[in-house]
Amino acid sequence: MAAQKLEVSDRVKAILDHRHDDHDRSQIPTRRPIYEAAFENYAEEGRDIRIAMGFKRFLAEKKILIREHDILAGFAYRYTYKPSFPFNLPDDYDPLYRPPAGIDTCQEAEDAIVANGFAADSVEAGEMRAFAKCVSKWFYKHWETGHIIPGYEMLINTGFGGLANEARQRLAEADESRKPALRAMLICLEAASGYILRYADFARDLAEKTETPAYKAHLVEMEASLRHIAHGPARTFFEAVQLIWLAHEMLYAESFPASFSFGRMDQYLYPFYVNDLKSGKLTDAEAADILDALWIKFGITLHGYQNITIGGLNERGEYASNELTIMMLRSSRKTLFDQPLLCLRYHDSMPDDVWEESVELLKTGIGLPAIFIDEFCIRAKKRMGHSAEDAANYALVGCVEMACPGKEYAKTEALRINTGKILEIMFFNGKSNCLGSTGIIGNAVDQSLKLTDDHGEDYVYPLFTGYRIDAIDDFRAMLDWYKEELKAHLAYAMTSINRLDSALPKCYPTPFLSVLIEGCIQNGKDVTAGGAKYNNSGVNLCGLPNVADSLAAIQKLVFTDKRYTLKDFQDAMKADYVGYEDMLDAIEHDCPKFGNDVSAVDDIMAELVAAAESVVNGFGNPRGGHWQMGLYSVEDHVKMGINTGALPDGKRKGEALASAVSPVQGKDVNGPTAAVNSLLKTDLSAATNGMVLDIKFSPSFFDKTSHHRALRMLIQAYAQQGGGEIQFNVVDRETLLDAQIHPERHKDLVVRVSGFSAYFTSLIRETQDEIIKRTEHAGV
Amino acid sequence: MRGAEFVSNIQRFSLDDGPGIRTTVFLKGCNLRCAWCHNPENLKFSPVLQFFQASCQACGKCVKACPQNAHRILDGGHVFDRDLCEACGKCASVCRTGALKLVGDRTSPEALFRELVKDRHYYASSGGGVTFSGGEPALRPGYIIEAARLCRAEHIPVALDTAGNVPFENYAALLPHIDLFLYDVKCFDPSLHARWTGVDNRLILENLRALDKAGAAYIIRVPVIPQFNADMGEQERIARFLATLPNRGLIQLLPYHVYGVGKYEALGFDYGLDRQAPPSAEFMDAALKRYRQSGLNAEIA
Ligand code: SF4
Ligand code: SF4
Repeated sequence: MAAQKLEVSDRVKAILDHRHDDHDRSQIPTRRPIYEAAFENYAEEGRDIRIAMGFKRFLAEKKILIREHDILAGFAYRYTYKPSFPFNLPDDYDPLYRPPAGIDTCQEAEDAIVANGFAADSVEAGEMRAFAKCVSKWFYKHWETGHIIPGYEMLINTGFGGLANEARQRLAEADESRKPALRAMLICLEAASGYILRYADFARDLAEKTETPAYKAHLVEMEASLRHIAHGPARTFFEAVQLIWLAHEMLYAESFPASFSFGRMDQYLYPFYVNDLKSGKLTDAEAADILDALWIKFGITLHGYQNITIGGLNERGEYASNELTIMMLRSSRKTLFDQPLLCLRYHDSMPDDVWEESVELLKTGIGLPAIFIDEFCIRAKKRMGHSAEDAANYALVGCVEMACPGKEYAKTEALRINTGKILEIMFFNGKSNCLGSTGIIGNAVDQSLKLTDDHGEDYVYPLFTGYRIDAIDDFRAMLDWYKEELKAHLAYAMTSINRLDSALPKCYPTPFLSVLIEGCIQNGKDVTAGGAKYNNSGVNLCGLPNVADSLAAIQKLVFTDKRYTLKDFQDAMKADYVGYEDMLDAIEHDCPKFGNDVSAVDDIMAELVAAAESVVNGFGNPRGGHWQMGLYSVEDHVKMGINTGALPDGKRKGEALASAVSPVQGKDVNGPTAAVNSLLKTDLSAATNGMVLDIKFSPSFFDKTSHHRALRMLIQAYAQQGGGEIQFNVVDRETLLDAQIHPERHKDLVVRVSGFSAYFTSLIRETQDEIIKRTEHAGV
Repeated sequence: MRGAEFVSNIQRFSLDDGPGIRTTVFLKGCNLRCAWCHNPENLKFSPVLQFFQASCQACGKCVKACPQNAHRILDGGHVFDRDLCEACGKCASVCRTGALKLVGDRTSPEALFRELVKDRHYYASSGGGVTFSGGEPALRPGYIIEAARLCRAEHIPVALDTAGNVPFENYAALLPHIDLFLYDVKCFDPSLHARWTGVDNRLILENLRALDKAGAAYIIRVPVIPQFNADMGEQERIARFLATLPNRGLIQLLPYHVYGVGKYEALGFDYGLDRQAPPSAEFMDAALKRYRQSGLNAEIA
């Protein structure tokens, strides 16, 4: 098979070879003092203006960079984001590795208590502090910023100048309440134009110094383009790409780039491409070089979750792929980075060339493209209140979340719930057997996230129903109890996030992002205050397959066969199954497992999802939006698993939970169709915030071209039966094991983790182990 | 169980036994003894016990479970006396490491159908269906007809993977119930065939002509095996013979692989063939060319 890496042009090769030279770690902490100085100078102003002034000054002073051999200007860093946001990122992280980064939820909760006007000793304040503690112990997870598709399409067609004109006009008409937000946005817009002009000057100076004629010529053109797009809309393919990149870079300056994504790039760049081809300004080879250069810029930000969506139905219901769709798949195959996350919108009418090119990329093992089913995703967006036209234009953000490009501020990663741990603490009156390691982020254990008071194993997590395990005497009662707790936890956690969200516009507005989301200028409101057209929030469930397997084991062993009691389970879990090996055997061999097309357990899964949906559906948020539910886990199934004790499905203390709604690792033994069937017994239309089904194939599966077709047919059947997302891991076990022993030999090995791809060696050991344990299908 | 047969495996998402996504059912029992057989666990008609030494942890559970005293633990190692084994499966049901596996599960056509119907969506979307394989499934026409009736009533197409060495009356009975035959042609020379499979191929080739005449839809599968038929002379003879069949369809050349070797050890069998490298890509291409020159619609599968 030998997956083929595609060659790049000499021009692009030069960029590739020098891409690591750009790192300059001294830049990382530069933001904070500049913002602090601006805050001090504008102390009498409101928070919007102070943050906008910080942004403006930072853009005026920060380092900018063009390399003479590069095709595009610019370079993006992640900075430390205090003081405009309570975010932990070490000053000295190495951009060549994944930065340990996370929200300081304890600080966020304290700020929100004040902003909401809760007394320090009020019930509400107590609840918010308890919530923050649960977050720091990976019982819940909370993420704040940056899962968004900015209106890059709008920007290239309007320009910063056009947006500024509109903001000025609105400001002139606005009432007092809207003026601060509009003024802040206007400051940001002017700052953005100024920033691009700095680049134009840089290009001019560099052109003078540069000795290679071809580079010089390009830099002269680049300067002219930059001067134009500082205010004007893009006129060419090059200008469109350049403007998008610089806007992206500026967003990095404002807030943590958790997942700034690009929407349907093959669609909105296409008119520029066609125009330039027609007028002779551009060749296919040049267009490919420009895209490759952009891909290399993306690749600098490890784990940047920068999604690009390709293909998919247009508003007329036709599958819209074009030359750029293929070119983008190829750019990924040329670079083989973990970025950008390429998302392919699937419909049965997708042409074969798109599929064949996608298979070539899948064969490389980097887990891209991930495949999203149009019927499912469009239906989900409509259900969340999007117009038919906007729903058809959905694109992906984060891992697998659907968002309306440029019109939606959906905080898709606002909340994740460790459903496995809920089951655990039900056995122990709210206590866990796992102290875990709080604050694991990236590769590091971030000490600053440790709770000030160490609760240890005696920490009591919230339980809401007042039942006790020793009073449960039939399976129905057990299942119903779990469902009640799950629902109550959802309601508690969503309420807590809503309280945090109410404080956002007062504490951490993002005026620059606001100018890139349609509706904010028009409404005179920051995005955090509900300025966007769509304003939902996401809650995601993690570990459900473990819960389903656990409950099925309890049903079989305790209530049907009567071989063990719930007390036995309690004892075994407390002992982490040490001394209970026979029981582990019985769980392993005699109980049904989700992922094998066995209704006894698949139906439990369906019931759990339906129960969760009954609370989430219709739950509102402070921006006038609603909560939506996701069935995906990023990498948190590993981190939450580390912080969860033994479970009745045989999971040991600290082991990973199942990835998303994929079967528990290695437990699906009947092939991919059985795994898919198991999942499809759940009504997945509940997953309006997205879902993940991970299928692992051995590389030899792709040896035969007949298998490529079969894979497409598998996707087609999955789509027809209501599936949402499916993704493929194609690296053999031996390679992964070798990469654990010799990471230095596998620095460029990219794998699919959950809703995203990443460098294998950049993952924490537990995540690596989890991927290795997944069942591998050969196709026989 | 009336009408039940021993099924060794039900393989879902099977992609190489006919068109589309399929479920392949392996029936036990074969009347050929091909030296390269990669499903040796299906040779016998009755169940057999597989023992995978590498997975054994010498825990001794099987020792207690076996009524025949076929298992012993000696100096911390596991000794299995296959001669004593009556394939009752008791040891396999207590072994937790996967070292012991009883192959052959008595399955009624109805129970089988309940498994087969689970992937109907995939069959429909891909033009796939169900394939009966083995062993030699054509030795069990009654069972297959029963199962095929159930499948076809639900619009699931049925294929039969056969080596051809059964009385034609079996095929005559099966014909109305089978959508596609996957028919093995291993070589043309009868004595060569006899030497490598235990029987000559006169009946096999005769049956193929008769099936062709009767209007059956079929795909020919030619395993290409070093030492045996991987020479141009033999391939040429096969091609010439196939070209005489008026209703022939696709011809698939299957390059040999050493997949089955581990299973021989697990069954206590000797592997009849020296471990061979697969035929070279150059040879396969040349053979393919030769088939195509004879006007055959051939491919390497
Ligand atoms: S029960 Fe299994 S693992 Fe234990 S000695 Fe027997 S074969 Fe080996
Ligand atoms: S299958 Fe039965 S007879 Fe054979 S070794 Fe196992 S327990 Fe003994």
